[in-house]
Amino acid sequence: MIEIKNLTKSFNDDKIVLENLNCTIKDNAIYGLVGANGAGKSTLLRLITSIYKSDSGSILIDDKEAFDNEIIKQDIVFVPDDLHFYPNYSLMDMAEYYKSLYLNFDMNYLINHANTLKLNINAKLSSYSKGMKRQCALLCALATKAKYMLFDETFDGLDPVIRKYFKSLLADLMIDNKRTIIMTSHNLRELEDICDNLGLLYKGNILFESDIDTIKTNMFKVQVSLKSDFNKSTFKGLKILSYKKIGSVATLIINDDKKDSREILEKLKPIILDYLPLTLEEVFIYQMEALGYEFNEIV
Amino acid sequence: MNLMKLFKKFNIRFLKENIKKSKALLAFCLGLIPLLNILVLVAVAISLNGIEILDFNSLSIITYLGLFIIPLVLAVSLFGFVFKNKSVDFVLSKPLSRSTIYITNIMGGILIITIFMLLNSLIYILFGLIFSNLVIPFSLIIDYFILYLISYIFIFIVSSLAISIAGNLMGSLVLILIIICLVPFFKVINIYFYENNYHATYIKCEDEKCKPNNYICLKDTSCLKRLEQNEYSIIGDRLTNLNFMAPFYSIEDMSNSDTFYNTKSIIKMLILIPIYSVIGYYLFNKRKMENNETSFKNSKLHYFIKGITLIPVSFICYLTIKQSNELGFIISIAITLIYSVIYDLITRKEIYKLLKSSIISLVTLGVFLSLFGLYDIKLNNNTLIIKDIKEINIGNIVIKKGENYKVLNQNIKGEDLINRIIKETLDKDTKNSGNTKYLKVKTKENKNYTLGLTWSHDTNKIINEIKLIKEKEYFKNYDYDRINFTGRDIKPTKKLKNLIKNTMTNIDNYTYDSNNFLLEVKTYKNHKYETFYIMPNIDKELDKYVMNEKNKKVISFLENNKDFEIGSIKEYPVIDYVIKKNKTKFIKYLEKNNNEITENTLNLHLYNKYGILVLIGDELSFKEEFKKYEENLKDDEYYQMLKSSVVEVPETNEDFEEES
Repeated sequence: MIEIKNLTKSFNDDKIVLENLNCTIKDNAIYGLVGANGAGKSTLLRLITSIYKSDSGSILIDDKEAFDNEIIKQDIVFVPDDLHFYPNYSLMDMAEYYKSLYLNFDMNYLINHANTLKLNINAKLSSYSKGMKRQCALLCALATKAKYMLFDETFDGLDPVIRKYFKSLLADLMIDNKRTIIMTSHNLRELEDICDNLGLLYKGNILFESDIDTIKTNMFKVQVSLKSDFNKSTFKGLKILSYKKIGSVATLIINDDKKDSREILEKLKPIILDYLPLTLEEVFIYQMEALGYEFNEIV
Repeated sequence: MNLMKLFKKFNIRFLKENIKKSKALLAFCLGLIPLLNILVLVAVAISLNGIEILDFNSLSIITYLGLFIIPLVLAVSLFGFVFKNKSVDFVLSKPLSRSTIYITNIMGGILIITIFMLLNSLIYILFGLIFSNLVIPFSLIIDYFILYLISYIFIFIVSSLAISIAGNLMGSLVLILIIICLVPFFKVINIYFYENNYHATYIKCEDEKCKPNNYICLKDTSCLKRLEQNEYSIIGDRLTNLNFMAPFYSIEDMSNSDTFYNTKSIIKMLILIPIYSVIGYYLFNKRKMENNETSFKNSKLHYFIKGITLIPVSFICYLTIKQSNELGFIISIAITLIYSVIYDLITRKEIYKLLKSSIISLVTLGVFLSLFGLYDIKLNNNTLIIKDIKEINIGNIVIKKGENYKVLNQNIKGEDLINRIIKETLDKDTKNSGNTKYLKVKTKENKNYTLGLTWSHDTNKIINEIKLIKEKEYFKNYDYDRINFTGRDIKPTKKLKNLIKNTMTNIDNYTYDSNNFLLEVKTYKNHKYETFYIMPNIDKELDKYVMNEKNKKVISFLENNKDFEIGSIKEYPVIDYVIKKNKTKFIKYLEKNNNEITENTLNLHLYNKYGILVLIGDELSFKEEFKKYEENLKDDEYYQMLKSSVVEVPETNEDFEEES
């Protein structure tokens, strides 16, 4: 389990990226970390892996202080968004590098999957495409069999078939061994398919975290029309994240954690009342909108 | 952290992988120096003309030049990942703590340097063994190994420390230069100011024994004032000790001596290596790994470092202003502004804050110029006062009366004699009669000066007696078994060493005749060659042995060549060989062996006392000719007469001639 307590990190003493962040990531789960650009997702991953040193606060992994702890780091593998390979290295060289440092590195696993993916393990990585390089990085990481796997923009540059392949590899690892995977992505549909939990990072803190099912069963898009004229205040008692009215039909994004929204709305005797499920992307956008993130201004 | 914990932090697998990634570069750099060393040694070995002895600097010049590249390349290969975000992510996400990375890299770097130096030393040992005519004393190789091992490690540690602080390579280079050059630079500035600001040199003399009888002040009031304080005017200068660390060692020695070896520099480096390592360890552990790709994230630190680098620039500006006032001032401002812009560009910091950066640079320049000015004013009309002389270095030995041969430096330490020398130096009477010698003087405060000293003939006798005693002691205690070199043509065999030992321990005094052949004896001792010269003819056995050795080649040529009809004219002891035919072949042989001899000049060739007669006419007429000499000359004059009648080709020793 990863416990993050009052974590603060700033760059150049003035730009605070994470401020008093508290978060718990349970074992044996895939945790999706989402947030706007610059929210601090990559920084958080780098703090967990001890690449960066926090200004204050602590990160406990399995109840032990994680910073610069070699024993803990043996259980962590990190694939950053911007990949690095040594010049003139082949996949085999990289695998040897990982093997020399990770005690549980499974070379057979890497070779088997590299063969399946038709990656020439002896070819120089510099000759590979961006997607192939990412495949190599992911394979090396997965072959470490580390307990905690951290992926930044996991599937960036992979084609849909390969994405699916790696998702299945992650799923297999979850089934076979107890693993905790933390992944960030801007593609929320991707996280939706694979993640158990989701954390939304906003202005240096986790705004909300929940399991995907709860998010999806609690938030709805409701299209409603009443006989009489109405506005947002008509729907008192509802947790409205977003409200838009076009003509006589209003579209509401509501957080129905108490499961009483339908009852409230039906009392208003609506002409139209449609409950539509939200995609994770929509959840993300509406949550951000509710926090004042002006998407309209960007788009 | 104890030693065991330190070794536990050493991760050989990480080191192996870390080296593997830069193996081509490291192999090139680390292989280049031994390769060049081999090439130079091969070139020397091929061109050997007799026995050659290598001195420290000739032996190590390539290794010395490598000092500017290899440790830096090694440090960048091992620690360079900190300069880029991507590589920081890659390395630091692995199961390695920062302390493991630092300790592994430092110990790994030291290990690589040690192997590198062992390899170079081994090459020298092998060449010394293979080429018997190439003398490379083992103790010289040991010195080479020690000096360069420590120097390379020192520069490597400094580079690692700089990389631990700076965000990019340029920033690191600037820091390395500051760490290495700043102290020597300040020392050079100090020497500049001192050398230019001594108005006068005085010696303080309170003891009656050193006060002069006849000291003249004329109407100089300051002189009279000084006299009241027992201070007397003397010709003298302060000598500054220059014992820097690598790569400077001692600037003075580098230009005058044949060795870079400097014990004080080694000690300084040995002290600083662990200190810099610990500082580097601390800074690396505390380093903000997000700070990379620009020199220093913190702009205050950037300006501070830039300010330090402005010191030499300001010094040049100060000198320029001092030389040419207004124009110098304008030039200085221009130099500073250009430097400021270039510095910002290469360190990729504050590039877009041109005005701010320029103002700060100019203010810094102003501060340094003021400081230099104040220092200059403070020293202006400064007086050098020398007191409490501990010893006077009276230079080289008396046995061989040649001023150019520095065999051993002797010091006079007796207080009475020192007082006497000072007194005579200050005394007007002695000043007018004796020659002034410029000698090195050391005070009780361990300050060194060069003083112009004059002493009387009586004092000179005393000094010479002291010298003689010391020299006898020196040659008595000389380790003759360690002699490395006895000339280009003569191998230092045990027999020769014993002959030299007998000669030097039994001899009382003699004067060198620079026209005569001198045997150059070199021993690598106390990190340098100690050299003395013997005229072999002061001892019969030694002379015979030396000449035999020198002529070995010629004798062997004559004896093994059936083309010549070799004979001996027993009546003439100076004639050992007679060449009756094929004289052209013999002349060619001599020409090949650097003998300036031609058919026209050759009649009787005295080759290192071996009389080789080349008969132009018949043997009988030659005999008749020499009978005349026998009849007309006394025995002791006979040889001299014979000598003057023949074309003599002395064996030349270029080094000796140059020094003479």
